[in-house]
Amino acid sequence: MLDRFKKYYPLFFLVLVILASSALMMSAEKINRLVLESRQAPETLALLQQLFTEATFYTYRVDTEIYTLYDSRRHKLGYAMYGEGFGYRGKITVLAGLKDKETIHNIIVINQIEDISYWNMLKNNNFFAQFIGLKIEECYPSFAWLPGGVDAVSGSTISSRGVTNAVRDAILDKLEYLD
Amino acid sequence: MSGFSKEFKKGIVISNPVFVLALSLCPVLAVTDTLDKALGMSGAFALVIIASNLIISLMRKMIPDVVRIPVFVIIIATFVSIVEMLFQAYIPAIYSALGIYLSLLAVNCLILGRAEAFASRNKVSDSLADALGMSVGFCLALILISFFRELLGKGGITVFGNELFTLPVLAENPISVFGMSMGAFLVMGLLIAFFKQIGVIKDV
Repeated sequence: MLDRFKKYYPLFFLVLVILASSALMMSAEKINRLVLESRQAPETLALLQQLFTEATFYTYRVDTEIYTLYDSRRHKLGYAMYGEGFGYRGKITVLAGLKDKETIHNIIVINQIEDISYWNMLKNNNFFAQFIGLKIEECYPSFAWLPGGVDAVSGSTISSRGVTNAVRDAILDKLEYLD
Repeated sequence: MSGFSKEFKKGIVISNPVFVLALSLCPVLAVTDTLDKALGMSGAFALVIIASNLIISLMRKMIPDVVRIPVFVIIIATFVSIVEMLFQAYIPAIYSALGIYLSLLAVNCLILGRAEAFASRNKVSDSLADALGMSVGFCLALILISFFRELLGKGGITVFGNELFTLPVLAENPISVFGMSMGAFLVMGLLIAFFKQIGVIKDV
């Protein structure tokens, strides 16, 4: 009996160390999660949830200005970042959500001062829906004869371009920082 | 000289991990472009080596020889993960700035080397002294290198967002090579030469 125990002792010890290490890391992770969650700004989270409805947690990198969003199980949902473009009347600010480095998940317009009639034309022509699931490489103002891309709404071309440029501004410079 | 102070002083000068042993150069070269990052890495290194040396020394009679290296790696990796979480929660800017180099402490040759060569063979107090000495030695080396790199590469010193001072001419015309890895080698080489010249380092 003692010989058998001696034989398997190294394996037993290794398993014990792995279990103790896992327990320690799980506890530390739990505390870390509580600390990080307590620092979440509820209004920012609510805004980000408009992009990713399942998001319950986010981290923000000050240096790159990128939000990374997670669900309740801490699985990464995607990223979000702000961008600006110029429409007919002035600055348009959007919050763009990325599924990964290649695909846009959704966008929301945070701020704009366009004429209501022009803006309504964008809304009524489902302009914003074009960004859902759009490949980033297609995020350029396109001409009718080019495949893919974002089609500007006729009669509200400058506002359309403003939104598209804001999305491009949000995404393109930050792609290299996504992990 | 007592055993504790002998072991402690050894890591600072005689066996300085960076200037004498030339160990752990990867993080040293990568994170010494600013003083902030050097201080962050020094703190992380100190926490990991002190905790792992203590635990390994406490368990040294229980650890079977055939599995000692996996056990050391698991213990070190556990503390690295905990330190990463601490940094993420309390100093997120440094956590982001250090990036992958913080996780890479888990395979740092110096930490593993001290665990294998010292902590697993010596009593707790000596292991603690060794870890403290190595931490101070590593920290001083990082601070010295990063100070000169930031000063020459950026023309001034900024610590945690507070600008300590700027040099008028250098701030406008920084020597950008000191911000690169090549600059780190250059500064490190010059510091080793200087310490050898004044007799601080006896044998490299």
